[in-house]
Amino acid sequence: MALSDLELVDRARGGDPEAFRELVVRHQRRVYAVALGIVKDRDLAWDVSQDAFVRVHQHLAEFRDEASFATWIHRITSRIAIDVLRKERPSRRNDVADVPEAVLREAAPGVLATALGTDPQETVLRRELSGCLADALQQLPDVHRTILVLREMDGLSYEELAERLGIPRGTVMSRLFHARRKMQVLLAGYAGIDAPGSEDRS
Amino acid sequence: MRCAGAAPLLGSRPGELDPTEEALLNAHLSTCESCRARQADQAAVAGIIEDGLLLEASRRDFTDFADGVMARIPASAWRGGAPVGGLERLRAFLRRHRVLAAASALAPALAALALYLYIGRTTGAGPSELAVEVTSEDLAAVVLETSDGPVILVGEASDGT
Amino acid sequence: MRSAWTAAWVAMLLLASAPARAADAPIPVRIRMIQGSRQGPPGVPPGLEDLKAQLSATAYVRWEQAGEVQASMVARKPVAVSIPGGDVVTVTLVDARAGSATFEVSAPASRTQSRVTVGRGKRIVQQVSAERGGTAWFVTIKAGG
Repeated sequence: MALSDLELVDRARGGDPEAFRELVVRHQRRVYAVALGIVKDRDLAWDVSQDAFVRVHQHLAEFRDEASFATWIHRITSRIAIDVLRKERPSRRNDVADVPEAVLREAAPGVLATALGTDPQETVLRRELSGCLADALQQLPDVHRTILVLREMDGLSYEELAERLGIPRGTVMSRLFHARRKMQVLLAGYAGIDAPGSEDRS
Repeated sequence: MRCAGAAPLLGSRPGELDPTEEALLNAHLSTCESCRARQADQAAVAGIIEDGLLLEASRRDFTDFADGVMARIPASAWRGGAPVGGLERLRAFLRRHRVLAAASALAPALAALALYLYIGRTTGAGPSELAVEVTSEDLAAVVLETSDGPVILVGEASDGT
Repeated sequence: MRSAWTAAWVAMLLLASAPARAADAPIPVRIRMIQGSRQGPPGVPPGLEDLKAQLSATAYVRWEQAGEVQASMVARKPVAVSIPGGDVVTVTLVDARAGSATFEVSAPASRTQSRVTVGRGKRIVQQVSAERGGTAWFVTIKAGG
């Protein structure tokens, strides 16, 4: 019978390397996905992911059993990834409050959603776009890409995002809107759909 | 509330908007078809982020990853000595080398769509506990559970499987 | 005093050489390479009778065995099996516990990698080549012990 994450953490804490290795193997891909979303570069994401597990090991004693191991390591991963990103380029302040009216003037709102479908059983288009997603994500500015990954991979709430990024809640919300809009334009381009608001800048 | 004010409220999760925001948003959405459509677009994009990144992760060969992590943890951390030594690294290299050698003989596919299929783990004390993780390029994987064990089939993605 | 030291040394040596847990002890694994076909008279040769329940779940009606490997497998040490036609499938035992075993199967010819955990008495039947001309190759993996 397979051991739960918490049981493996317990054993790893006790000095069992195989238990820790199993934790690594179980979570490596998702951790990599989070890192890749933020740092863009695949090799860098690999390093960041390994760093995350090494750091997890260093702090095993502090892990509280009420939380989930997955959540814990994903948070650590995104923290390391953001730090790495900051070192590469200095952060720019980018405050956005209300969304400018011009941004909303698009040709056909809802087209992408219809094309992708809301059924989790993917349509062919959705599968194709998933394949291009990582590339499209790379084209977003750092601030937009980061907040999208934290929201959709780490599942952070508005409050958590505000605290983590040191920005007001309102900024979190409008930044997310802008980030998704940009992705929408990029994905529509990949899919050959009439791209809404392609004059959208910034 | 106008569209510009409603936009940042789209994509919120239950409990994230305060009652005033919630009321204003719902009032606006009930009259504005554009914003309803916008909301659908936002949700569609949000949903694909995770899929896309996990797909990308499934394309990568993780054979050496755990070894790499274990190699960076000092042997003194474990009871019973170092789990990763020269022999372990050699094995990992051989494992990957074998796969790479076989793969190089394949004709490259023009558009490789990696499909990641994960059949959830059945937890509990049943004897038929099963966890299957299949990663395939170009092919769709189907897992059939039988009383004797799983049968894993792969086929063309357009098979309708 | 001397005998106590000796006893302690012997105890340490025994601990160091004995496998610490199930994953380190080799387990017997039977791997068979079989081919399924949509055409021809339906049938399963005597050697594959035990696979009937699983094979009948597929669309292939006629079966043949091309080879077999009985391996004593140790965790993370891969075993390569050859499929007629030149493809090589790699089977690796990832983990073995009292009630279950986890295998990784890598089949580059079908660009597929899988990781499957099964109960000890169960068998994995995995397709390792894409269907061509109505036939496809499979490997079966069963951990004994």
